[in-house]
Amino acid sequence: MKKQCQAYAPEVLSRFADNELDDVLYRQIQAHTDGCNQCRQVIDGYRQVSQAASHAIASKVSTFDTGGLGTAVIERVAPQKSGGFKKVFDYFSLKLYLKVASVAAVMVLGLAYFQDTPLNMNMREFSELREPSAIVTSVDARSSVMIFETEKSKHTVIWFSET
Amino acid sequence: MFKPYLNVNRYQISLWAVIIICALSVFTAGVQAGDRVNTHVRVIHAAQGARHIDAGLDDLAAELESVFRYTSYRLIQSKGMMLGYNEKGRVGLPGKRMLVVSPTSIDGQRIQYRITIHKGKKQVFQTQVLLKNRSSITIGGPQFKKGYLLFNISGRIN
Repeated sequence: MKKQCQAYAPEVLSRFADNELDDVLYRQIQAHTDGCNQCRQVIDGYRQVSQAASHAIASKVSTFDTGGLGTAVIERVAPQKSGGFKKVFDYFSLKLYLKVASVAAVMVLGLAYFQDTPLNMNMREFSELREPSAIVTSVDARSSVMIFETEKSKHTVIWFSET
Repeated sequence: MFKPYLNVNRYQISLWAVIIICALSVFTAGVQAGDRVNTHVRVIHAAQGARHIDAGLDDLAAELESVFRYTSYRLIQSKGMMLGYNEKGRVGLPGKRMLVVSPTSIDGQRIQYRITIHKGKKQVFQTQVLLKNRSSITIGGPQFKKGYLLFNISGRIN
């Protein structure tokens, strides 16, 4: 078996193949490789590995569409545009139970509007709190009549003398 | 452009028809409920003496005590009626008296009532009032058993 040349360490030869050495050492190794086939083959091997790696990386980068990436990100982040017409017809795409629930909600609200619920009673009582309970438009009695209202809830009272 | 959204089949049209019919039914029920007036008359005997307020007058007692000097309020009669417009509701009163109440129209959120009180064959009192919906008016004056009679009349339309 032929003995391997020990003139330069493999790391130094690898840096030589990658052009990473200073000029002095670079020239020394270049002069050495002119007469040493073993070192030249080692350097050629390093260079082939480097070229293969460079080609592989370059091919991956060339197929990566950075313009498409920007468009894709904008589409994901930006809110979807939808007109009123689309929203109306989107209702038809809802599931059945959602449709039934929405119909039930409309009916409950409709009934609450006409029925006596604590909510609408309180709102009405609040807005009409300062009005008299009754407005007397005419009165006819055989003798004296008094009309007054209570201070707290404006309850209207008519008092008449029967005789 | 709009073609995907106009994919409305017969099932969806039927569903919308049911929704519209239900909504109209609810609206119609509300209108019909307003054709009659729920009228309630309470006849109260107010007098002086031992303090007493009947349970049926809890909502009214504080109001009466704020304007009258009576200490006893007894509910001697209570009558509820569903009256159509211009329909007369009659309530018999002590001492051969009669109270006649009749809703005549609606004015905004108020019910117009015509109220008369008769003693024997004579009309002794008559008034027309615009009563706030779900509210009441009290009319008093006739003497009865060492006290006086009060008539509390409430009206409600839906």
